[in-house]
Amino acid sequence: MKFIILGIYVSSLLFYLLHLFFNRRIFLKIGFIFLCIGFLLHTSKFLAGINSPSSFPVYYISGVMSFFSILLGGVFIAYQIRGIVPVLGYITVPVILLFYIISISLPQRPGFPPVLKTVLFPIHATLSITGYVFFFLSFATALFYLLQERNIKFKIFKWSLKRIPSLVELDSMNYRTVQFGFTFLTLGMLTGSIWSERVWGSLWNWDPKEVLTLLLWLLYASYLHLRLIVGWKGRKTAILSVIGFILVLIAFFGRKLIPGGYHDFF
Amino acid sequence: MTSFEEENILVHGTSFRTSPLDVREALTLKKSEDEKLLYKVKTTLDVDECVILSTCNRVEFIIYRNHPEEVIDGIVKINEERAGFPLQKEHFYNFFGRDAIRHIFRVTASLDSMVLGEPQITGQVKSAYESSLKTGFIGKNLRKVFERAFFVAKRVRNETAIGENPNSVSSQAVELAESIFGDLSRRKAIVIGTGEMGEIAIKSFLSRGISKIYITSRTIERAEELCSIYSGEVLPFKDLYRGLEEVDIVLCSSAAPHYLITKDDIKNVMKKRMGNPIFLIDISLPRNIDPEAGKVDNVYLYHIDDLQQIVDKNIKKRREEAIKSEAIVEEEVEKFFKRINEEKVGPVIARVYETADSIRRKELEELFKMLGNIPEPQKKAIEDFSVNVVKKILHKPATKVKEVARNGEPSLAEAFFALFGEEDEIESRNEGK
Repeated sequence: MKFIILGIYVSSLLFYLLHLFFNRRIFLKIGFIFLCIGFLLHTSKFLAGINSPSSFPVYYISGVMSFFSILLGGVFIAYQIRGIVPVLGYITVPVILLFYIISISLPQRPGFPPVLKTVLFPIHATLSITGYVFFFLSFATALFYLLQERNIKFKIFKWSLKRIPSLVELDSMNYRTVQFGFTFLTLGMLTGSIWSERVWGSLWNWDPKEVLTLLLWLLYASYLHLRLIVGWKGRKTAILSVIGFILVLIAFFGRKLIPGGYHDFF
Repeated sequence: MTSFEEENILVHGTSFRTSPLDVREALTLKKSEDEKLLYKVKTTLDVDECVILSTCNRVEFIIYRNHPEEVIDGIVKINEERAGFPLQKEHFYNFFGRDAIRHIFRVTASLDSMVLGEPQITGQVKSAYESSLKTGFIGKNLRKVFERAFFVAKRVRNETAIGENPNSVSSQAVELAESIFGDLSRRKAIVIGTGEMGEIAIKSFLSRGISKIYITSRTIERAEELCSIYSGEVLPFKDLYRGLEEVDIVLCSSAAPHYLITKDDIKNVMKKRMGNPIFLIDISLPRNIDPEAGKVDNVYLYHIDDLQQIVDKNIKKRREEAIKSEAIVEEEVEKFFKRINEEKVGPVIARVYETADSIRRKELEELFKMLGNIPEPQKKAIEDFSVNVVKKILHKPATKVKEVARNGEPSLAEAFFALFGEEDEIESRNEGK
C-alpha cells in the first residue's frame, strides 16, 4: 500500500511537470486525478491506523509529516476544484510527495510518554499543522506573485504572462491564505497552552519552540496589520510571507537543532 | 457518384497579396447576396459544389466540377458584372488539385492571413462553408476538404504557439492589464488625450468588458464626441488626480510637451489608493508620464516603445511558429490524398471479393450436386473450407493494393481488378474510358 500511494503521487508529479514543460491542459487534468486518488488512499490509510485519541499519529515525526502531506493535499485539491491557480501544483505537489517520502522512510517510533496523551494534544497538533499548510500556500502564491511581478515591472517575458494568474488574484489568494493560517496558528497556540497547563501545570514555558512560534505569530500579525492599516500590498506582503515561511521551516524542523525544551519529541 | 478526383478542384480568388483594396472591396460579398451568387455560379457555370469565401482581405471561389479550368472565364465575367469594371488577370490566382487543397488548409489555419495567426479567419471560412451547406451547394467532396481544413486549423492552433502572443500594441496592452488585474469587467480607465492611438486602445479595452471609461482632454468637444461614441464620461482636466485615485488603468495619448503625471503625483495617489495597483500606459510622444513613476511600488508603467518592442518579439515568435505550422499543413495534405486514394480502391476490392464469392458459390453448388446426399455437418465443413480458401488467397493482394494506393499509386488496383474481377465488368470499364 505504501508504495502504491508513492507511485500515484510520483505519477501526479510527473504530469504536473509535463504540464510545466509542454503546457497542455490534459496533463494538468491527469495530474490532478492522480493527486486526488493518492490523497484518498493516503487519507484512508492514515485514518485506518487510528482507533483512539492516543493512537492519533501526531506523537512522532513521521506521523506529523504524513499528516502535513494529507492536509496540504486536501487544501490544495479544494482550491483547485474552485479553479484557483492550478499552476500552484508545480510547487505543492513536489512538497506533498517529499513529505510523504520522509514519512514512510522514518521509523514510526512513539517518542511520547503515555501520560501526556490527552484528547487536547491531537487537536493542538491538527490546528497547528493546518496553519502551517496555509502558510506554505501563502509562500507558494508569493513566489508566483514575485515571478509575475518581475515579469511585468521589468518587462522581461521569460514566462508567458497568461500561464501565471494575475497579480491581483495572486495577491488576494496570498492574503486569504495568511488569514486562514493565522487563525489556525492562533487556535493551535491556545489549545497548546491549555494542554500544557493540564499536563505540565503552566500555560507558557519559554521553550525554544514556543518562542519561535510566538515570533511567527508576531510576524503574521504584523503582515495583517501592515496590510489593513498601512496599505501594504503586492510585493512587500509577498516578501513578508516568504520570510514568514522560512520562519515556519525553522520552527518546524530547525527546532531539532536546539536541544532541550518541552517539544523535544518534535 | 464517383469519388473525389484531384483534378476537379479549383480555387479562384484574389487577396491582399495580389490585388489593391479597391478591387477587393468591389468584389466583397454583400449581405444577402451570398445565396444569390452561389445560385448563379452553380446554374450558369454548371458546377457540382461551390463555396464562396469573402473577407476584407480576400474573395475566393472554391469550385468542384469536371474540368474546372473551363469555368474560370465564367467566374471572371460574373465578378466583372458585380464590380462594374474590367478586372485584371494578374490580380487573381488559380490553384488546382493539390495546390488548391494546400491553399484552403493554409487559409483556414490563418497561415495566409495579413496578421499571421489571427483567429477570425477560421470562423469566417466556417460560416462561408455553412452557408453553402445550408443552401445545398456542398456535396461529399467539398465537405471532405473543408472538414479536414477545420481539423488542420485546430491542429495548428493546438500544436503551435502561432496565435499565442499579441501582435498589436493595443492587444499587448490589454494582455498586460489582464495579467495585473485578471478579469477587467470591474475595472475602470481614464483616457487622457483624444489621439487616434488612444481611440484604438479604448476599443480594445471595451471589447474586454471594462466597466467604465473616463475621457479627459484639453478640447472638451472632442472628449464629448468620443464619450458619446464609446459611452464614456467626460472628466474635467482639473479632476485628473482625483480620477487617478479611483481608476485602475490610465491611458495617456495627449500631445502635451511635458509630463502630465510626475513621480510625486503618483506617490501621493498611491497613498490614497491603499496600495491597489495601477497600470499606466503612455502612448504619447514626447512622454507624458515621468518614467520614474514606474519605480513606485504597485505602479506598472509602459511606454509605447516598450509595448512595440514586445510586439516585435511576438511577431518574430509567430513567424517561427509559422514554419512549424507549414510542416503540419504539408503533412495533412499528404494524408488527405492518401485517404482519398485508399477510399477509391475500396469499391474495387469489394467487387473483386463479390466476383470471387459468386464463383465459389457456383462451384460449390455443382460439387454438392455431384456428391449427392451428404450429411449436414460435412456439407458445412466443405462450405467453410471454400470460404476460407477464397479469403486467404485474396487477402494478401487486397492489403497490398490498399497500401500501394495510399501512397498514390492506383494502377495496382486496376491490375488487381483486371486479374481477379468479373470479365464483362472489366470490359465495360475499359469502354467507359
